[in-house]
Amino acid sequence: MIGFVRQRSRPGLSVGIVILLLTLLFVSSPKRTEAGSAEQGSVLSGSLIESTRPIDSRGLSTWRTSRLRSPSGILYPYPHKPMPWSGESYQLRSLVDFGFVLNSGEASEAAFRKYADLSDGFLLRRFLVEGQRTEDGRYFEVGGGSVGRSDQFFYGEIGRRGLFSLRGRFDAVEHVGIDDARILFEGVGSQELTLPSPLVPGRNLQSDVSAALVGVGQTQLSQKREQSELQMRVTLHPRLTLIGDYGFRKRQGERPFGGTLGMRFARTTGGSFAETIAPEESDTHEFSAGLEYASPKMQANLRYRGSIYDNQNSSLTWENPFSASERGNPASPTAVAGPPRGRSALAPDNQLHQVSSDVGIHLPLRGRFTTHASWTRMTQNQRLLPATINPLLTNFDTLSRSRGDARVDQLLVQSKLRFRPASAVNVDFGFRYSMRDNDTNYLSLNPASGQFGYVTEDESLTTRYGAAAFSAQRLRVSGAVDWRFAKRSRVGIRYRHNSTRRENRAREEVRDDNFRLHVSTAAIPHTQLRASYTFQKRSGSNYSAARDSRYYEATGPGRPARTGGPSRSLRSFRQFDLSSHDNHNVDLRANWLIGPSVDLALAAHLELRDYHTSYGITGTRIAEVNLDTSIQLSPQLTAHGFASYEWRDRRMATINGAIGLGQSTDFTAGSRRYPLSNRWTWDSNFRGMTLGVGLTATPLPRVALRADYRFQRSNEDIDTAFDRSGGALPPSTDPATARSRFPSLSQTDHLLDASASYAWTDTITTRAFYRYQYSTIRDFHQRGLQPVVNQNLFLGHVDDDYSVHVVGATWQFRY
Amino acid sequence: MKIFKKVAFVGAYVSFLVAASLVLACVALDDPSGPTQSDTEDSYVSESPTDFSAEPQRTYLGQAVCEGCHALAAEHWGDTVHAKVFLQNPRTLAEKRGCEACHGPGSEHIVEPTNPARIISFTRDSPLAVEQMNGACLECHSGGARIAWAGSAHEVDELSCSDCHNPMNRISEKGLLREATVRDTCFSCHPQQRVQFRKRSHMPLFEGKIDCDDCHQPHGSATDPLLRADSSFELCTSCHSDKRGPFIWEHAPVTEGCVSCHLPHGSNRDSLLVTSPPFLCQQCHAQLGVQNHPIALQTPGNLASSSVPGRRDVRLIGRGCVNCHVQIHGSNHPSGARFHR
Repeated sequence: MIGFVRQRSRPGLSVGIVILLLTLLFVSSPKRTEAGSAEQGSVLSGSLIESTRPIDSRGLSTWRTSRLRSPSGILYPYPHKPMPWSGESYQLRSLVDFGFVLNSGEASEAAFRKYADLSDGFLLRRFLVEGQRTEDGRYFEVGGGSVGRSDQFFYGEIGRRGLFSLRGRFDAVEHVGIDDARILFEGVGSQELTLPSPLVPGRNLQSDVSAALVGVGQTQLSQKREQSELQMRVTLHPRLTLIGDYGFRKRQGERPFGGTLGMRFARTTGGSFAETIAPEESDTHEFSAGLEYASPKMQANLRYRGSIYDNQNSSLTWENPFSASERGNPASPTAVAGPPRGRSALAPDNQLHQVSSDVGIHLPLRGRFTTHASWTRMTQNQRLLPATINPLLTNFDTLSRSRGDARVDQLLVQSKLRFRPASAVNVDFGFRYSMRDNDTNYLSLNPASGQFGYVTEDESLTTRYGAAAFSAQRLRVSGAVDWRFAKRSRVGIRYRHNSTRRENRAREEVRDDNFRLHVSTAAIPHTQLRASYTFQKRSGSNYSAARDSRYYEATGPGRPARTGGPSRSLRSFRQFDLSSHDNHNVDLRANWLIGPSVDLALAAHLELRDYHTSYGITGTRIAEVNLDTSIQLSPQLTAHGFASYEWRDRRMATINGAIGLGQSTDFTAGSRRYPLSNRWTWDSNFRGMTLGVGLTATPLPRVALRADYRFQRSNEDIDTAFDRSGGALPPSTDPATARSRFPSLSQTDHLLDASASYAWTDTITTRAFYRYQYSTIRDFHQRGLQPVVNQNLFLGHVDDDYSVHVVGATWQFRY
Repeated sequence: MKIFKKVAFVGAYVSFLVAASLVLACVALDDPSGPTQSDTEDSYVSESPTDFSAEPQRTYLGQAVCEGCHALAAEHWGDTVHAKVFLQNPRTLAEKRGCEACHGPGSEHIVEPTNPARIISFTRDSPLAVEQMNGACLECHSGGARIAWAGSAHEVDELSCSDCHNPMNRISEKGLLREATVRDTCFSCHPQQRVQFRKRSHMPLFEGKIDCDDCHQPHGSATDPLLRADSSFELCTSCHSDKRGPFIWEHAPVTEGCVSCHLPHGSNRDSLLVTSPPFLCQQCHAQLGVQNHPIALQTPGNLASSSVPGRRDVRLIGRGCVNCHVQIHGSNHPSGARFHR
């Protein structure tokens, strides 16, 4: 058990870590930089090959008359003509694609611009210069796209084929979150938000704040992310590769945040909330290095990865726009002053260090043993802010420690053993152990006074002993058998047992038993079928909401007496991630090769989960069906279409506690604390449909047309059920008129992308493009939203409908 | 339990040392000739899954012979990274084989060119088992992430390398994929994700800023969803490092995994949430408090549009509970026990 006060004996462990790192001095490999297949891009740049090379009408083969399909039956697309090289030994090829973009409509809407820059103006859509020396494989490559726009990207690579490569990348994106924020505060972008005159912190009425917002225009809040990366890959030996990677990520901008000074719900007295704006300015350094070894009999990877997050802003202070209470008379001098300001800590600087290894060994009987092990340490040692910014409480001016001193260690060991007792039979065994150890142990203690507690919302003192640290251990064992019963056909069964032990959660141990039956077959003519059924049963130890109560309760001298209810009150309420349940999963994928150039594919997923509880999430249902068709009649004409339907249901039941019963400790359903008349349920039903069609055509030798259209509609309805004579509703609501169903949360989208290009010569192409985007969002959280709502200040953001036409043209020159 | 943890840690540390020793020993003892060796350059006898040892001895013909009939295929292949390595800087015997590095010796194929059994092929028409086709690729590409291939989700489902890759033609910028992009390749079998990335809040996949393989390792990994990390928390916080902490006040579902509250690809709610606040939070919170505010039922009458101003409730407006509990991923403030600070 992790104790409350513990002397850390770290020196031995630290020495061990240093030795481990020294042992692995040469070794590490980033998980994410393995001879990257990821292509950089933007909305306007498109994929490199598709946007720069025409389809080759000759196809892939002179000899085959039928279309080529993958082993699973998927049609391979028609090839693109390779770009020719100029020169003999030293070869070069290049292209530049530039033009302009124009748009009309609601192009300033945040949802339209969220991650894309489709603004009017010049467009350097793509550029690329490649060179190579054929006699020894040396090469270089420089390229990029959407140059000068907020989603621009660049890359460059040099190397020698099969020996080494050095690649640099830069990528930018702007996340436009809000375009219609009405901001009361001054100092946006800094760590201090102040009120404009004549507002006085903590002493204004709602009418004063509303008056101050008159004439305030709309402001955009966005964050820019710029990411640079340098990747190196060196073949030290035909079987040994060294990999190194350094990445730098910078985020800048502002984002909506929040700040509360007392709770201000409908009809409560005292307190206010303000939707503030937090500055975002952070740097993240990522570095990794590794070795990869591969021989016919054995493979191994060793890796180190490090990440350092550095936030330039440590806190956000805001001045309270409202008084604590207006006492029912907006103009009354009896309004109660509220705290003048509040201060929140922003994300602390942190570090991560990870070492990991993978080993794979071929065994006799076509067997194989693989193992993965990793150890991770995450730390944070930020200087802590004072308990409060307001000088209302002077007896909490010292903390149990001055810095975060937070540390989480994680360990994962996973091994698999496969052997083949018969030529068509595989037998697999698996073992997995993972551990998360939180060694932070923060105490809410003022060592000067011996008082336990913390300052609630910069206003008052609340008792609390310390922070619950969440640690866990997971152990999984598995066994599987599969049998190849026909050519490219396999059926198998797998069993897994998983045991998770957690500290400070309501259930000490959770056990999962998982059975999976799967089949994959090409034995049915003109068909590839994959199907699986998984049954999971979750059980575990007794559930007790009070397992972390020691962080709230007093059991010895100097610890505060308990006030209020336990951390999770209703005895029979079950948190869904711990709750016992049965889960059924069915997955189906079928490809029908219905013609030499036509595919039809069906993908379906069904998940049914029943929780064994009366309160909490009681059940979820997910079903997804997708139908796809691909028609490749000729290099001059291909088409595709898809239809998708999705539904998700989620149900929950709970009981609203009765108010004003003092220290009653009977928290069972049906008690005075939780009368059944206060029971209510919530039912969420989501339905989504998507349709899409696309066409690529070359009607004339130098003319290429392309069009893609997608329609998407979704709707979520939330229904509640409750006893109107009971106490499920808060005091602010009139039971007689309370409706049960919320307005639908819905979205409708149309997206059309079309282009036409004409190749004047083999090296010059003109392309015209058109894009139409239409979107409506109805979110009841934004319904009727104004900046001032009952002593709560909002930015007033509402997702508006938008309809935007984008047109443009580019000229592409290839050399 | 502490002793068990220490034993596990020591065991992991020892495994590192053993693995490192094995690597160094293998390098020291290895013959750098290449993954497939033969006593003579002109013959081929393989012990790999593509073992044709029951067949008559096959011989290599050389790239020029292949190109004599397959000029068009060679032209397309010539633009691929395989061709550039094999033709410009081959370092192993296998790489020097050119076409026959993957397709095997062609002496039987030119005798019976229409018999698919006379050459190693990788399409639907091939007589080879998926394991045999994959074995040809794994002879050179067995390392790196492919260490975890055996027993991975794609391998168990009889997926072939050539279901996702087409080394004969450069359709994608990198990776010799079957389609122009990673996402288009994945959507062939995972079409639902195509829908999810177009939802109201989504990861910027269609905007070209992320792709499936930024988060997933399709060749195999230590997790069931084939993540490029040991957990969803580790994966997500590799980019969203501000959520990594560790914080002095932790929020339990964050430590369990980001998917406790978020859908990783897209959602019709703001911030990729699984469901809307306050219901999202009420899935776990049933405690008493000021006005029992975590667990009280809100109705449409409490929305900002309510005709009775006194009923408009901040728990249903904007970001709901996270309006006040803004540090919902964890707090590093001494007074952040309820994630207000």
